[in-house]
Amino acid sequence: MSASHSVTKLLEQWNSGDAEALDKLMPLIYEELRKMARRYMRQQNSGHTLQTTALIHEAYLRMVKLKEKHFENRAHFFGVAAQAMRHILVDYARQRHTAKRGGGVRPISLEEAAIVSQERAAELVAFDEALKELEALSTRQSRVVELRYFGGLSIEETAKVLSVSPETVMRDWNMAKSWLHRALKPGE
Amino acid sequence: MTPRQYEELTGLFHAAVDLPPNERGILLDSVADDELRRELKSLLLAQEKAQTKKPPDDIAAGLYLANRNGDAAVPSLTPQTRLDHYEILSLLGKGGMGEVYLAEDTRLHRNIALKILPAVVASNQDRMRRFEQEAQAAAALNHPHIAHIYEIGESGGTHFIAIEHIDGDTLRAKIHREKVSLEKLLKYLTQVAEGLNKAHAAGVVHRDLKPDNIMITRDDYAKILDFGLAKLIEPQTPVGSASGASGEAEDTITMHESMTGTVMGTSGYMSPEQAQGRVREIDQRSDIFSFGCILFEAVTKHKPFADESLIESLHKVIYEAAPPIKEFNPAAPSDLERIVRRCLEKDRKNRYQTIKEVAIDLTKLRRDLEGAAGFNIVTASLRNRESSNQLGAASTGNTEDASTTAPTSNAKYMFTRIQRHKFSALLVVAALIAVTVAVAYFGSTRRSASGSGASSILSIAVLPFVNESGNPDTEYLSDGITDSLINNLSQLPKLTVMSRNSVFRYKGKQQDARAVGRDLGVQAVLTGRLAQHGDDLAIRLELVNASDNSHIWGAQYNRKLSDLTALSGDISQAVTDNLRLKLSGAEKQQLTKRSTNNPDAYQAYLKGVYHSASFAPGGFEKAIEYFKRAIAIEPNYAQAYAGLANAYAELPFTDLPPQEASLKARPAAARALELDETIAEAHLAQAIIKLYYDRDWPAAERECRRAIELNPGDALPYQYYGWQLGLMGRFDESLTELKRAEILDPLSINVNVAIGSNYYWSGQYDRAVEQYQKVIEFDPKVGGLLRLNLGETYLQQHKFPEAIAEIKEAGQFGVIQTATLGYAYAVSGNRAEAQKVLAQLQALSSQKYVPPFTSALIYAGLGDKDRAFAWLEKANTERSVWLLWLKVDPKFDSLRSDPRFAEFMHRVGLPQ
Repeated sequence: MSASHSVTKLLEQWNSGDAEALDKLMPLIYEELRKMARRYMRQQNSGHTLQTTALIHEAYLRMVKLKEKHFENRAHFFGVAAQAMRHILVDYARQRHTAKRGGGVRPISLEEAAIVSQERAAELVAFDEALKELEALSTRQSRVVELRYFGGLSIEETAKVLSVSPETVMRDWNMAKSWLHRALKPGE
Repeated sequence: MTPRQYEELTGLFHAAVDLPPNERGILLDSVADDELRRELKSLLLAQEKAQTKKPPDDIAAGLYLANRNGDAAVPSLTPQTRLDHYEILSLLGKGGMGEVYLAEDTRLHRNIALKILPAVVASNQDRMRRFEQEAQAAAALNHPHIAHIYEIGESGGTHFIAIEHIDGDTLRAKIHREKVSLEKLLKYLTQVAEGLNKAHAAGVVHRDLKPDNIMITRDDYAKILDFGLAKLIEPQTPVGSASGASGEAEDTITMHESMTGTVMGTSGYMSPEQAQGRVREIDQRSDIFSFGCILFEAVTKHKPFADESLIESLHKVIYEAAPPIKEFNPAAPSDLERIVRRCLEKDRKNRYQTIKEVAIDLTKLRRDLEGAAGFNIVTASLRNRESSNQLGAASTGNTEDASTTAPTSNAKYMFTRIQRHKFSALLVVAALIAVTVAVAYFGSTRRSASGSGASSILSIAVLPFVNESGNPDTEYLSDGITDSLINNLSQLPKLTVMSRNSVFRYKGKQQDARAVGRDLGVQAVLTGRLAQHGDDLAIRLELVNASDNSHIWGAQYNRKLSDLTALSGDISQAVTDNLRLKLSGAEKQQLTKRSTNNPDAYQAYLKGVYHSASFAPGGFEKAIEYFKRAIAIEPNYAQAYAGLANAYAELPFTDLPPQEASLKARPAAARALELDETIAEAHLAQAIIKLYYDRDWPAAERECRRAIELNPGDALPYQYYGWQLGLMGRFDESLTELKRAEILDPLSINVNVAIGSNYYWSGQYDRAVEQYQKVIEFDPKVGGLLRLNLGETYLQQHKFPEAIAEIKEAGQFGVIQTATLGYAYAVSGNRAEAQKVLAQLQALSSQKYVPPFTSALIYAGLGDKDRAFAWLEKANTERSVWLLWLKVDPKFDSLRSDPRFAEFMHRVGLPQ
């Protein structure tokens, strides 16, 4: 079975209440996104913005073959992809960060490292740490950030994924942003 | 902090931000817990800071990549900066592909547009190399509807492209901002299709066609910009990436828009294969999809796959059908709907396969609408809709551009007729439509070229000059002068001139110019009367406006026979002057160019042309005689060599063994080309030689294309090319070419027969019969090849008595008719008759040349494979031209499964 078939199927299973489907989805989407990001890097020169949103859009178009527009499926896909994207970027950032300091946790290729710039690597690692702290305080708020930031989802889409109202998402987003800002820029 | 505390904090935070800032202090003071108050205070402060930063949606926009190659910024150039010999004047615009400047070419002193490639793009050498290849191909395109690429260059590390500067508006502005009629928009789009066709023919795919990439010049010409540029921002197809699990995922990726910072797919004109990142599947049909999107937008003012979000829109592109045009524009004709639908098919195999077909359908539609006053309906409804819905640009119902031959009751009749009998329109109707299409196609698309406004006339029929002396011996003169005039005038791209076949039907008949104009769909009719007394020629001419029978111009030319060579040039010039066509210097020169200065040679040549066009028995032989005489008088007479080559090349179908014909045709064609490479006719002769005698299919194809290039207004090269493509089994392409020929020469029996053959070879017997019957209905006296073809088609339908009747009807068609009859007897079970025909042919071969192919055919019919192959071998030894049919002719189906057949085809050099 091709990746696209299984992703479509798993999304449908998850949608009809099969929680295990999510566990199988995650690695598939993660792998695909990672591969795409790497290939993208191989092909590009530096100085570009890696649009995580565009990357996820494309992964979706490639992996999910749904003739009907099925908003739930899509929202779920994006939800998973946003999380996967976060892991990918943070992994790279962390590796780059440690590589710079002479640490060699595990060898990474140049193009993988280049996905996250030196300057942004530290920022991203810190951001991830702060987001983890937030998660301990409010899982939903951290999810909102993940979906909006790494998945590029709109307020409405985020609301759909989390099964809450858009107003709630807006409030969560406002609060989480303020909290993260304070955590990352304590001096300001 | 615990989650519970955080929850409390969150509640307080929301309550506080809902308050106006000056009232928040009260809330803060009311918080009893010190820590909680401190937290809330700092959070509210942070919230203000976070607010003043980027809007939240921009945060998700992306992460910057490491900068490996230094400054990646686009160089911004100030006026007077020089790049090579270009001097920057001003910035024209900024786009995904960098900046575009207006610049002066200081060498040629003309303004050009200079596109500066972003350094990041230019720094990828591999990409640049690929781009340069693509751009070179694009730069080689020379077409009125393609913006010319002058140069791709580099100066001080800055890569640039110098492009024709186009002063005008984008098609987007024309569609949405300006009040432009639908008629005009369709005209622009037809031009775009023509430009694309040229590019596709050269193997260049645009890849990013959108209304912003199409400029409309001030004198109303559409020009396509940025050919091949999309390749620069498109990802390369990964080479040998072996790591992935799914092959499909491995070779597809679309990050191209994201790379330039604009959002992927914003254009909304992307094909499904592009939206899914299937880079390898992008071809000309992707452009056809984009073209369909533009067409949709022109008619409805809406994008077909528009949606709130990008992903929704892409989803629609991939999975959903575009809404019906009628939803936006209830009066839109169904034919337009059909054209758009076919462009927008998700699977590229179901789309139009070539943009040329789209162009043909569009012109047909435009003409139909014009004839049925359909544009008025369409534009009126749009106007209504606009007044109620504020739909943006409206049509003005502008008829300034409408052809003057427009609505007549006849045209309306044709239109309804077609509606009623969509698939069985009589040839007459079809032919008339085709003519009118030709006018729409060439007439209106070239209208703007004349630059002399609505009053210039762009289509003409030159009726055969009347031979007043009544002496049949001087017929060659009246016909010949008519012919040369048609030839001269048809070289002008601005003017549509009816082909010889179509006008010669009127020979010897009294004609009312208005009726002719209406029947042939031309705006003007030129008639002439020629009288010869000894050495003196008197020619009276009249040019009539076909729309109202008004007299445009008349003149009498009194010349000596010895002045003949300059005559048609002089007349052509007078005619174009009076049609108010503005000609370039080169065109004027071409128009008055004489093929020879020797009047005797010219007369002999005219006689040759006259006889080769007569199709009378022995006509080719007589023609050969006269061409030879012309050459004897004027040894450097290129045109006469071309005529000679063609006449020889046609002979092997009748009485000459192929090698002999080849020996004679070959040097004549070579000599003609040596003397003048620009004679289309000579290239056609060359094509025939390459095909018949060398079986060099690619070379024959090249020659056909060259002939088309040299004389695009002549039906014959298209007819030959279409026929040749049919023999190769490339039926779709073949049909496209033949339809083109049909547009230019609608009454031509040969073209119509060739279209029938195309259906027959591709196994569409019903359509073939229908096509042949249309021709017969049009001209019941037609015999020869047509009857033979109809007969063999009936054979495939197992209608044996009808088949045999038709084949007998074919009349004087030589031994091939006899052999086909024998074949028909054989397959219909009358073996004895078939054997009799075989014996007849073999007896005849002791007296004259009989192609061995004829016996092979009858043995194939009898199912005697061994003998059939033996005779085929014989035919191949003498390189019989009839073997060219082997690949596609169903008459040989009985041999096809035999292993010897494939092997034989291979040896014969037939395309597999």
